[in-house]
Amino acid sequence: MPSLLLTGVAVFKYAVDILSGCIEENKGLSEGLLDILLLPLLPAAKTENSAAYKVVATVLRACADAVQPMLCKVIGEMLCCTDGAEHSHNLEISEELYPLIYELHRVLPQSMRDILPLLTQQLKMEEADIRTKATLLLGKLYTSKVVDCVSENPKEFKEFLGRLNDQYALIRKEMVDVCVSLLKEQPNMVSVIEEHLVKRLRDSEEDIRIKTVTVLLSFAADNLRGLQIDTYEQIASRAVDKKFEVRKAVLVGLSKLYSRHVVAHLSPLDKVRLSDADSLALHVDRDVLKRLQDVPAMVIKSWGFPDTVTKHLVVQLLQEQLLYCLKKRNGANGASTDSEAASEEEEKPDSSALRASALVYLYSSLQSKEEFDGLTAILSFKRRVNEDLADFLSNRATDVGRGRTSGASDDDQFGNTKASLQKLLQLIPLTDKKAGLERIVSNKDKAIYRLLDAAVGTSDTIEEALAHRDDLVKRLDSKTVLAEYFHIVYDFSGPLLCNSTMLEHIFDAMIALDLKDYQSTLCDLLTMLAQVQPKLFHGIGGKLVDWLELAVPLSQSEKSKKHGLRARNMEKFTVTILHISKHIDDSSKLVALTKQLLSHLKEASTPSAGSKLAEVLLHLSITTPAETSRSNIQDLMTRFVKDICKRDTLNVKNSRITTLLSTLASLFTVPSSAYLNMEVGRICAKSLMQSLTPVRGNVMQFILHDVLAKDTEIETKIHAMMLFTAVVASEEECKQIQEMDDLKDRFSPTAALQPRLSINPAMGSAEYDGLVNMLFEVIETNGAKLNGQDVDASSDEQNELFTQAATCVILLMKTKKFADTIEVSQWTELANAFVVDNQETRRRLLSALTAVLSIHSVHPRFLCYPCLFANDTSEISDQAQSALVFAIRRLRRTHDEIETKLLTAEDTDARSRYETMASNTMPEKILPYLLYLLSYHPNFPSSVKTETESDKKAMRQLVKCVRSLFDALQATLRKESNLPFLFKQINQICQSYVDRIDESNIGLHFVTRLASKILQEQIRTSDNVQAFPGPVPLPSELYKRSKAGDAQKALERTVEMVTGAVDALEETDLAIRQAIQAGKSRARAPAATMAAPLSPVATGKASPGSSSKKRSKKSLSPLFEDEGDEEEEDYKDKKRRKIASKPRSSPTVKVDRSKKVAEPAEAPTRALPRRSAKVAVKYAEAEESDREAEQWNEEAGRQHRRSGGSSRDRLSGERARPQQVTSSARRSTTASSPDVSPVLSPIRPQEEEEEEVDIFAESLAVPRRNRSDASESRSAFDVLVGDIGKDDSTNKVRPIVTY
Amino acid sequence: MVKEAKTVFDTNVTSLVGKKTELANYLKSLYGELVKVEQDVDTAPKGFATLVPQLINAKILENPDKEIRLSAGMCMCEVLRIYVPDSPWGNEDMLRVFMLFIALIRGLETQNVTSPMGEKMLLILKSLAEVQSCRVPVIMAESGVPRADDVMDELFRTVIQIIRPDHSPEGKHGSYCPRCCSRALQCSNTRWTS
Repeated sequence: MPSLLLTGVAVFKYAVDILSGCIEENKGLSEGLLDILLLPLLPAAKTENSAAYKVVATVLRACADAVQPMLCKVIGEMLCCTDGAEHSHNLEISEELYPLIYELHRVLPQSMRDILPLLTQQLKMEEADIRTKATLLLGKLYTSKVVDCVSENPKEFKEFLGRLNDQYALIRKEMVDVCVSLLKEQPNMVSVIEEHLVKRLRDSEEDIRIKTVTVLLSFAADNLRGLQIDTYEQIASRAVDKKFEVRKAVLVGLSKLYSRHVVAHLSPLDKVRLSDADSLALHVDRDVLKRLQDVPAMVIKSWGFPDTVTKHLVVQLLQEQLLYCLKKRNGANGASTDSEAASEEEEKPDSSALRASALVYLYSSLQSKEEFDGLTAILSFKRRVNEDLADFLSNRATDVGRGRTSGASDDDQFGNTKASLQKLLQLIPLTDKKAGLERIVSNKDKAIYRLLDAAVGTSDTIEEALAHRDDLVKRLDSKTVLAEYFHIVYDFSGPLLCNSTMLEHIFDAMIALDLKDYQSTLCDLLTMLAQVQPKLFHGIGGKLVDWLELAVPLSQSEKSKKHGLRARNMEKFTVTILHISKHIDDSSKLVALTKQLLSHLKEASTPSAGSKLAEVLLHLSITTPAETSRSNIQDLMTRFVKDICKRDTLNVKNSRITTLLSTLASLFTVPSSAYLNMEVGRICAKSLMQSLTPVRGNVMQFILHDVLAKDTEIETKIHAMMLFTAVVASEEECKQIQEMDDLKDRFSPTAALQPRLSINPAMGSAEYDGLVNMLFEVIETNGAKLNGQDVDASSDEQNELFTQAATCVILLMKTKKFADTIEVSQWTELANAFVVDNQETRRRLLSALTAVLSIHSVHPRFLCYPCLFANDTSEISDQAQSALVFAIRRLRRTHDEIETKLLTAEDTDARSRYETMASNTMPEKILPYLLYLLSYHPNFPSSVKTETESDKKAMRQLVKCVRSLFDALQATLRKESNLPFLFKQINQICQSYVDRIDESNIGLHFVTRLASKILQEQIRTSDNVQAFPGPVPLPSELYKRSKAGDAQKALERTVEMVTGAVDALEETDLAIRQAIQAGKSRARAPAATMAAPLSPVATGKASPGSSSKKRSKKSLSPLFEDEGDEEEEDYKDKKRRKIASKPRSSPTVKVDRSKKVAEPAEAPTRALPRRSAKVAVKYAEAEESDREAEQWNEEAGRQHRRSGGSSRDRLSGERARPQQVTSSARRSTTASSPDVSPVLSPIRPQEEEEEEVDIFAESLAVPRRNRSDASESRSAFDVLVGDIGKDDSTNKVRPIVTY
Repeated sequence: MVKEAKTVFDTNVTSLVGKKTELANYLKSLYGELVKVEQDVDTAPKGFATLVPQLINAKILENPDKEIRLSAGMCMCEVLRIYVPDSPWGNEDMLRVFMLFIALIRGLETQNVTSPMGEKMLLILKSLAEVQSCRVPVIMAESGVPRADDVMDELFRTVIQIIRPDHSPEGKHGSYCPRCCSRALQCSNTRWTS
């Protein structure tokens, strides 16, 4: 009796035999029979009756040859009808066609050879649904293990891969999935797939980009060399993806690869001979390095993203992946899931050595400035968090102690702690506002604070730090926002990136090992760490001295030779010393260090090295805390100075004379650290005088008689000039410091502005004047003359001399004496230096200017210099703008403090002094200086015709210069408005002031006009246009009141002299508007071609500082005349004039902005020479004047035709209706002061002005007059203040300044 | 023995049609004899030729008794075996016979093959498979015999339908199947031929 199983199998076998027999007999298969056979293969049937499926499968396999033709035919027909067309086949089958085909590939693999091409055709269908299904099926087929469809259908496979570029996202996504399977099942396919897959890294869908990154990096985890180098670059490029998840996938993935394949194979720092650049990575495969060497740079660059999440990720990756990390963790977060090979290795004893090695290697792999800056920024940020956290913990400890005694409530008790927490929150903002972070303040768990203390420390190893962090998070309940936040804080603050042990390893390596190529890297790394993480050096600063004993001086011993610092590295290292000297606890070590440095200084071979070493020594001499040590150091330095200032040493024949001069210049320069506080300043002054006084005579004798007066090398002269400047400037600074100390007043860096200081003019006064004259002589002659002698040198050397002279002048800016005595001509001459053609020179001068502005509060007239860089390269202009904003902010703060003192001062003298000081420190006072300076700018447009591109460009540049100042002024304000003050300044210049030196400088008024229009952009509320109530004095050395009492009359006359000036100025207005608009819309311009110097030789302008007759020797001081009385008179006078004035022509005719100015057919033919308007006014050649008159006539006709009115309407001043005040601001202003019209009517939007043109043209019916009538009827005053309206009823011209 | 055989083959089957028990017994006897006959019609016993047409009597083919129909079907299978490669009946009758076969083996869908009826159904199936008489409708369809297509379709459908999950050689006892399969078939043959 056969069992059930066996008889069942018999049924199976008989069924197969029957069906196979029938099919064989049939020599094929009818469609009906095929349908019957296929039905059991459908998914539902297969699930229901797998035996039937197997019967059919067996039958089909057995009769493959007989079945296949019909099978392919039927499937082909059904595939053709997938778009809904009718067919005669079984509906059930056609609906489940794709699953059926998949089953067929398993049952009858050979059929795929015919079916795949049919399916591939489906990929070209328009219907996305069909393409999707076909893609899904093909994906399964190509990844199937049953049959190698890829090899058998290469053409179709290529077509299939093309779907990675399908327009339908779902298909692309599926394709990426297919690639996952393909790469998993057939890694050798990567060469075919990679190229297509990489393109999806730039897919528009975030999911696809993430998936692609994941696919590629997952594959790379096991087959690092399987992917091309280019693919890694492409993946890395996604590190700047706009979506965080993509960036995270890239950063985490690549970092893990780097950790596993690079970091894990680095040699420990203490076991390697650092004799060649790659010795650390000796055991890292070259191919791996080629692919992953840029990973650290990529991670560091991601620090630039502003969000905390990305920043935290970057720090985590740096700390836990890119540097060696032993600790196993179980994937608590994305960046720490490294339960992979690296962490699976046997634990090694000293992770700090390995991490030090990884840090050095990482640092050596950075290349660009951006990368180094990035790492510096990360470490700086960590330090700030560390400091803030330390503050928080300190405040809490204090608050807790105070609370115990006072028994205050939590709010009262923890006020300081909460404030510290807020500070921390500002640094690391919290995305989730419902955090309830303040619970941390009153947390009673002492362990939490013990752990946070560890985060502030510097000694924990990575394992300890991570353990502490995890413990902290656990104690704060890891799911809470509080725990997450302090997890981030711990990562930012803790010593996870670099600890003091790692630093010790680096020092040990430097002491014990032969440094060569790594010397520079290690020096740079230590310098950087010293700058941004000086705390790390606490307690190990002595190691630096130990090492320097080996490295410096360069003795003959083999050991010293081995460790000898190269000169350039010594320069870098001096910066390190500068930053960590305060962490060297042992004073004797500091003295030893000084000796080392002095001995090295004796050997210094370059001026730069000498200069930097001298800076460090000076720093040590004033910052060493122990007085005895400091005194020793100062004595050492004094002796050193005496030694090198001996006649036989300080000699032009000495081959090291330039180094000596440079060294002395640095030793005699007051360092920035002297301005830290009064005590340091006093020490510095004393130290400097102690060194300088004994040798001053020798030094000055040498400079003036041996170098500058004789025919010596130009380089020597330059260094002598710099030393001269250093001596004179430091004496002035020391005097200031001393005087301030005597006054017992609060020390302030605004020394240059303190009028109470009485400078003794006798001390070095002649030398001072001589120096200033000499420097300006160099500047004026572009380095061709020095000390009255022609400089026989190459153009490069002359340029260097010019640059250094300008730098010296900039250094003098910090002295009050310079601010007090500089002449207008010198002031403008210095501006010349900032607009020279040589970009490197400009950059260097800006650096010098920035350095001065960052430490010293200089006179406002010098603060307009940064504006001259507004058209330079973005790097330079940004730097200049930052410096300007910084300086103005400080000046404003000073002004505010003085104002506060003024309010509380009771003494009349004190009040008077404070009033003057407050007036002088008002940042808005920079504006008149800038306007004046710009009126002599070589790019100053002709103001009449701005048709050519160069004119337009010049206009735009001018706008940028003015705007840079306004932007800086606005950036430093909080809520208050400075517009009324600025408007008043502008209006005063427009109405009743002229250039003191050159009255005919109409250009000044053009720039003022332009400034007023730019200023109008900033009007937001009616308060902005309120008249400023008090007097606004203008710099008397630059401006003077017009003789007639109304400066515009003079201008009116001068404009009338030029035929057609009416239209011309309107053109100018148009050009101003266009330039302003262009400035708004234009992205930052590329490196602008800087104009020729301001010298009148180049521009034809009469510079007040030139050697022309108009050159003024008038000193710029006093800064501002007290013109309060004049102002009063001026006001009364205006009121009288207003009442008595008659209706005058008005410049109401506007040029339609939409109209294009006629372009010249050929090269721009200028109607007026390309000079200032001032020159244009004087232009008197009949021929060109006639030509211009014709042009104006033509233009007037064109305008008339466009506007539909008659030219007389526009040209007739009498008919010109006063402008209506339409803006709310103007209404408000008028309402608030009925007798006062708005100062500057152009505050109205431009559209209104244009509209007014048309209305006027049609409504006014005044007899047409010829052009000369028009010019007569329209005064120059009207031209200049063209937009300013008149009173509607009286038709009287409103005064420009009305307050 | 000879007498008995003679009785079987010489019996007028039509006369037994109304007698259920006798007919059933007779058909059992007949099947027992038929299996002994060689697969050569020329060597068939006397009376065999007369008997064959009687077997396809409508009252037998459409007999309400399933046992009778099964026994008849088994006999017809044997007749087909003996006649191979010739056809014992005309086209129409042949189609009727196959319709009977189809109807009978469809019982396997519900019947266990170890049951008495199931065993008979399996025998019919086995005969169709081994003798390959299943090809007859195919040949007929190719020859253009009306309704032969339908019969063939029905045969396919039925053969597939009767397969149950436990029939699979790779079922839950699939690991035994490869080696058991041939033995099972052997046993099956032995039993029904012994």
